[in-house]
Amino acid sequence: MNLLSKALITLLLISLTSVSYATPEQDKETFQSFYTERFPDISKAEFGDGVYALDQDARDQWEAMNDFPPYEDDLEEGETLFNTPFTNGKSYASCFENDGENIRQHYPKFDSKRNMVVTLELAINECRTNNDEEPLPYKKGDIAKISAYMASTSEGSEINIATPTSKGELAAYEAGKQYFYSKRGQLNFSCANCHIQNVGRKARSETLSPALGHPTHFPVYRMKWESFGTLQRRFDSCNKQVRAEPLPGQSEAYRNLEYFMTYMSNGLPVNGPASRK
Amino acid sequence: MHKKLLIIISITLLTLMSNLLFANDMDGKKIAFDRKKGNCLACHVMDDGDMAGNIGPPLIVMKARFPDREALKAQIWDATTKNSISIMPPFGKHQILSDAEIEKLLDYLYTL
Amino acid sequence: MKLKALSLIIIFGFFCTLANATTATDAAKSIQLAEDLWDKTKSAGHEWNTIKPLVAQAKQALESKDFATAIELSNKASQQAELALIQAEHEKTNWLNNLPK
Repeated sequence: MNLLSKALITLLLISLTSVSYATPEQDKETFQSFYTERFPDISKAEFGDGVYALDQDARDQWEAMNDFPPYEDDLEEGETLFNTPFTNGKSYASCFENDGENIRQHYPKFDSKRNMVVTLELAINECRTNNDEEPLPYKKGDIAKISAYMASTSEGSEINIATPTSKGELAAYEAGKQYFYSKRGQLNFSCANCHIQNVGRKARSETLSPALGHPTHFPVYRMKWESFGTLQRRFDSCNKQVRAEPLPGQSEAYRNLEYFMTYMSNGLPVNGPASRK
Repeated sequence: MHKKLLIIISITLLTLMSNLLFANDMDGKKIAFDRKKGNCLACHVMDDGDMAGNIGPPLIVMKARFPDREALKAQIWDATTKNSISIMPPFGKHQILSDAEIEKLLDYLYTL
Repeated sequence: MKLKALSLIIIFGFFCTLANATTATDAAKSIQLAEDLWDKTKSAGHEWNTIKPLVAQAKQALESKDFATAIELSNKASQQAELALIQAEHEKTNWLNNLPK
């Protein structure tokens, strides 16, 4: 092996290691500046509006629709459910900091005792089982309504996921990151293929939304669903579209993905629940 | 008599052949437009397709852009050999389309 | 002469059943192989949603004794599972190329 090829290999190794050893904070900077540089006229906070931040025509229609938000009834129901005591007399408020008000921005959290990511929906169900109630089915229905109500109490608070530093946090973060960037399904798409590399372009007549701001506005009331769905319900839709089999709600891979994605959106205001086409 | 028969036969044959060729093109177009098959319109402007996406380049002057049919076939078969993160689905490699379907698709693409 | 013909028919019938039985076993084996490979794609975290219906259709074909179709469909399921596993292996390193630059 000559000197040149040795030098090249060393360089290659250095560049490879520097990629995989980027800290979460560096990742977040790169991730956010990718979008702010790509769309210099859009402020960081506005990315929480998804395609409606990029496409004025779509935004006009969306704003007209929001004169009477399609989710109002479900949101009210979520509030009622949240405030209805369990059989043992306790309530959801008893399970959370600040009685469950204005806490959405801290989820998902890493639970170092159990060495796992805990999403808001998982915490809602654990609150139920800890109070001898049956867990709710994930992704849609009552759990999405309750989560939507809780998100609404955080409106305007900035997403604030603690930077992963411990070994367990970093492992979960890296797993979520790898999921996001890996191609999957028969159609061989990664999340990044659409939501980073082709953000703002159109698949048929649909604008591809920015991944920055994805987690800020969930649960989302999607006209296609005619109901609320959690972020993980939306993961299912993406997976089906690329012909990958969706994962069960709150599976480890989905929780890690949500953890990674939400950390990437740190600093953006919570603006959920929101409506989508 | 003999001549007449010959003419009739050749006309029939020609019609049959042109039908076959035409059908082939139609099949190719159907494969290209079908959302469950090629779904080319998801990303490419092409032909008289409605509401095409703009992720990939418009599919025009294919003969000039891909003088080598095998090169175009390779791109459809597995675009990741050229670019490992290409968003284009590997239609052949991942069995999204059969070899016969890709051949029909190619016939159609070369009419554009 | 009659006896000879009869015995020939019996022998032929026997072989037919035998051939049939082999195909049924082959189809069942082929489906089992597809299911094993399909399970591997799940543990690899790269399951395609095209495999489940292929296996289900293969099983249905087996039930209605259409062994050739059962084998054909389960082979297809196996091929796709193998492709999903190749994808999983490839993405173990390729995902890094997807990072924003």
